[in-house]
Amino acid sequence: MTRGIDDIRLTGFALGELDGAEQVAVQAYVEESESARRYVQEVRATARLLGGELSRELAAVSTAPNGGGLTDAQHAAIEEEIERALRRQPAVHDMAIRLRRRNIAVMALSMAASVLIVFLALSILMPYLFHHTEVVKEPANHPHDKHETPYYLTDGHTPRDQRAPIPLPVPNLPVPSVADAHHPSIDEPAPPDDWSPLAVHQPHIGPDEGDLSPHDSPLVGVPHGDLPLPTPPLRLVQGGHGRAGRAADTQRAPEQGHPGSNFYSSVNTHSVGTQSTRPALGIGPAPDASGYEPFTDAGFTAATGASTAAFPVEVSAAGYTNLRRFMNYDRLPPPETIRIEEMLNAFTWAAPSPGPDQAIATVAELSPCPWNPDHRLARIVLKARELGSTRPPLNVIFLVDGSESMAADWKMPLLKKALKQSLGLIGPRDQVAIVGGGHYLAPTSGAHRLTMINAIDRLESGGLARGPMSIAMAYECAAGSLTPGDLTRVILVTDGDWEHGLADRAAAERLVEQHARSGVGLSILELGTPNLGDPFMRRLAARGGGTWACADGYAEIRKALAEQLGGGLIQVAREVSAQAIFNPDVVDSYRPVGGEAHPPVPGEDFASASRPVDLGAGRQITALFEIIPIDKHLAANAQDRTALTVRIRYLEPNGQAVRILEYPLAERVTPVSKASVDFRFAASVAEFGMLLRDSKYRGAATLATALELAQQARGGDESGERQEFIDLLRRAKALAARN
Amino acid sequence: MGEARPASDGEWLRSAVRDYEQRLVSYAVHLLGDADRGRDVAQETFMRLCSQPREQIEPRLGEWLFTVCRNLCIDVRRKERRMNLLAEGQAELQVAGDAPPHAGIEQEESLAGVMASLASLSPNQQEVIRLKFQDGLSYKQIAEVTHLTVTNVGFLIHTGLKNIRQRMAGEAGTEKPHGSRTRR
Repeated sequence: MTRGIDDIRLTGFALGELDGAEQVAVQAYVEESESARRYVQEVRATARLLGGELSRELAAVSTAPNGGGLTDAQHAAIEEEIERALRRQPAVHDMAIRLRRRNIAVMALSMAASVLIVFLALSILMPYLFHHTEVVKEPANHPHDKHETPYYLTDGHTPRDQRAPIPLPVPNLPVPSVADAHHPSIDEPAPPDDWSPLAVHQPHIGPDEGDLSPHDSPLVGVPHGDLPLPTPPLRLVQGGHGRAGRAADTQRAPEQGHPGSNFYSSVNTHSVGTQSTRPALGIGPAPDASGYEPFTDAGFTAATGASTAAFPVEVSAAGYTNLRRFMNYDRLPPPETIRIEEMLNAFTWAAPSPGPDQAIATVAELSPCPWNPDHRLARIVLKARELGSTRPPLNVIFLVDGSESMAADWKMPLLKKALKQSLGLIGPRDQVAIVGGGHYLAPTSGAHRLTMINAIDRLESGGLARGPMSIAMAYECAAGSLTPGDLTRVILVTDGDWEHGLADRAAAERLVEQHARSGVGLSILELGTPNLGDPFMRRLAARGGGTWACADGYAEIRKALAEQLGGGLIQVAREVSAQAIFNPDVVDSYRPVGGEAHPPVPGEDFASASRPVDLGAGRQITALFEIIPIDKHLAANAQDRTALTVRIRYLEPNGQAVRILEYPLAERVTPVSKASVDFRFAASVAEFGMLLRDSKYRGAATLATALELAQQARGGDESGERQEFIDLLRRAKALAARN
Repeated sequence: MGEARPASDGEWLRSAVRDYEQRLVSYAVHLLGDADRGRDVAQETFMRLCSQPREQIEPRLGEWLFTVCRNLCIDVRRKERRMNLLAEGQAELQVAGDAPPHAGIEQEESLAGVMASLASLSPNQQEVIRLKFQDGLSYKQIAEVTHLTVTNVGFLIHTGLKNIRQRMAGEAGTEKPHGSRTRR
C-alpha cells in the first residue's frame, strides 16, 4: 500500500466509483505505479467479463418461453393496478396523507384503549367484556420500511373462558345498503394505501376455470327440443346445499337383515364397538355413530307401472366425509351412516361444458352392471355451466374461527394451506378480507397476492371463538367494500366452536338474514366436527343465502373453497329438476343406487316430481340407476333402442322461460372393462357403499371387486381423490380381514 | 406533477415495468431461488409502485424498486425460515474471508468460468456484484438497496472480484501483492 491507497480503493477507482479528491489522489497513484495500473486493468477486465456475461444471462432469460419476466396474468394485474391508480389521482396522495394521519390517531386511540382494558381487566376481572384491537403495522410507503405488511389487528389478551356467551351486538350494527357502499365504515384500522374504496372494478383477468378435461370419452346425449335462448344473466344461488350426516331428518323403517350377509355383520359388530380415541391416521375428529336412524334402500320399481323416476339435483358430499372419519379411526362406519348418493357426489366426474345456449350439460352411459351381469347400470351426470371469465367480481370476507380447538393439525394448518392454494381463483377484480384467526386483513385487491399470503400465514388459533364480535366485524368490513355488481359474501370457517359464543342464536339468524337482504351473503365451511351437520349452522347459511359444507381434510377444504370462489354461488339455472324416463319395452324395472327415487304422483306435473333447486355455476350431480332389462341377453339391435331418456327442466336465472332438455340414451352393449373410467369408478363407489350398508342389492360385489374396479379406473386423478378412495377400500379390506 | 414531464403517469409506470421487469425478476429469482415466487415478488413490487407519489420515486426509481423487491424477498425467506440472506448487522460476519471452497466447478477462463466463479461466492457478494454489473447500480445505490454502508459495498465487490479473478487464474488462496486488505 502506498499513500494509504489500498486495493479496495483501487477497485473503486477502476469501477468509476470514486470522486473528488479521492479520485484525483488515486489517479495520480495509478499513473505512478505500474503494479497499480496492472491491478486496475485486471479489475476492469474482470468487470467487463462479468458485466458481459450477466447481460447475456439476462438476455438468455428474456428469450425463454415466458420471456424470463412476468407472466401475462401478472402483466394484466399490474396494468389493472396502473389504471386503478390513475383513476385515483389526484386524490391518491392526499388520501395517503389522510390515512397516515388517521393511523396515528388510531394508534393513539388503541394505546388509550389498551390502558383502559388492562385497568378494567385487573379491577373488574372480566376480561371477556371487551375486544382489544391494536394496529400492528401500518403500510410502508418508504422503501426503507422493510418487510411491508398490510394492516392487522391482533386479538390482544384473550380471555380463556371460551364458553362465556357474549351478547350479540345487533343494535349497533347498521345494515349496509348498496347505496352507501362507497363509504367504508371501518375506521380502525385504516385500509392500506393501495386499497381504495373508490377503486373501479375492471374485467376479470384472473384464471379461467375453463372446461373440465374428460378422463375419457363418455357418451354424451344430444338434447332435443330445447329452444335457443340468449345467455341468461346471473343470479345468486339461494338456500343451502347439503344434508350431510342426516341423523334423523327422515323416518325410515329398519331394513330387514339380509340372510346372505356375512361381510358387514361380522365386521361391524366388532369394529363399531371398538371406539378409538385417536384416529388411525392422526387426522379428523372422532366419529360419533349416535343419532343416525336406519333406513331402507330403494327397491326396484316396474317400468310398466311408473316409467319416470325423478332424481335429486341437490346432493351434498358430506356422507363421504363422514365415512372417511370413521375409517380414519379404524372403524367401519355403521350402515345407517352410509349414503351412497353422497359418496358418488363427493368425486369429480368428467363432463363437458354445456353449449352456449344451455345452462346444464349431461353425460349418460349404460353398461352391464358390474355386481350383477344380468342387470344394466346407468350413470347420469349433470353439470351446470361454469362461468370462467364471466364471473362477477368477488368481494369475499373470510371469517375465521380462531378458537383454541382450531389448532388441531387438520384444521387451521390445512385451512391456511388450502386458502393459499385457492388464491389462484381470485382475480385482480376481486377483493379479499380476513377477519378472525387473530388478525385482520382489510379488503385487499386480488392482485396483491403476497399481501394475502402474508395475512393467511399469520392466521392463528388459540383465542376466543367470539361469534358475535367477529361476525360484526366481518359485516362491517363487507359494508365498507360493498360494490354494486360484485358478489359480496362472508365465508365463515369454523369447527363449530364459533357458535358457542352466541348468546342469542335467533338474533344471529336475524342479523344474517338482514345482511343477506342487503347484498352480503353468508356461506359456512364447517371443519368436520362430532356434531357434523349441526342444523343451526346449516340454517344460518340458508338464512344468509349461502351454502353450507363440511370438510375434514385438505382436499375437501379446497373443494369447498373452490366452489365459493369459483362462481359456485352464482346461479345459472333455477328450479332445476331431473328425471330418468325408462322405456318399458327395454326396461323391466329399475332402482336408484343410493337414495330413494320419488316417482311423480299421477296427475301432478313435472315440476313437482322432485324438489326443484337452484344450481350454482359448475355444480355437478351424479346418479346411478340399476336396471333389470326385459331381455337379459342383449338383442342384436340393442344399440338402436332407447333404454331411458334423461329429462331436465329448469328456468333461466332471470326469467320465467322454462327450458326442457332431453337426452335419449341407447342401450349399449359394452363390457364393463370397456366402459368409461368414470363409469367403472362410480360402480366401485357404489359397490363399496352397498357393502358398507350390507345392502341386499349388492349382488356379487365384494371389497375385492370394488378395489379392482377402482384401481383400474383411477385415471389421471389430479386431485388425488381417487387414490384416497382406493386407500379407504384397502383399509376396509384389512379391517374386514382382522375381524 | 412537474410541467416538463415527458410522459404521463401511466406511461411512466408502464415504462418502469418495461425497463425493470427483467432485471427485477432476475434479481428476485436469484435471491429466492424460485422462479414463481420471484415473479410474484416482482409483480408485487410494481403493484406497490403504482400507489407511490411519482415525484418522490422517479429520481431514484431503480433504488426504490430494488429495495422494495429485496425487502419482499427477505419477508418471503423469513417466512420460509431460510435466512441465508444478508441482513442488517450481519455484514461483518458475512464478508469476512475469501469465497467458500469451490465445489467441483472446473476453472477455465471462459464465460462459463466467470459465472461458476460468481456462483461460488457468498450470497451477499453475489448480490452486490449482480446489482453492480447486471443492474448498473452504483456503490451508493447498492448501499441504499442493501442497507449496507458504501464502504461495505466497496469491500464486498472488491473481495468478490478478487475471488473471481483468483479462481479463474487458478490462484485461489493466494494474496495479490498490491496492498493489504482492510475493513472499512
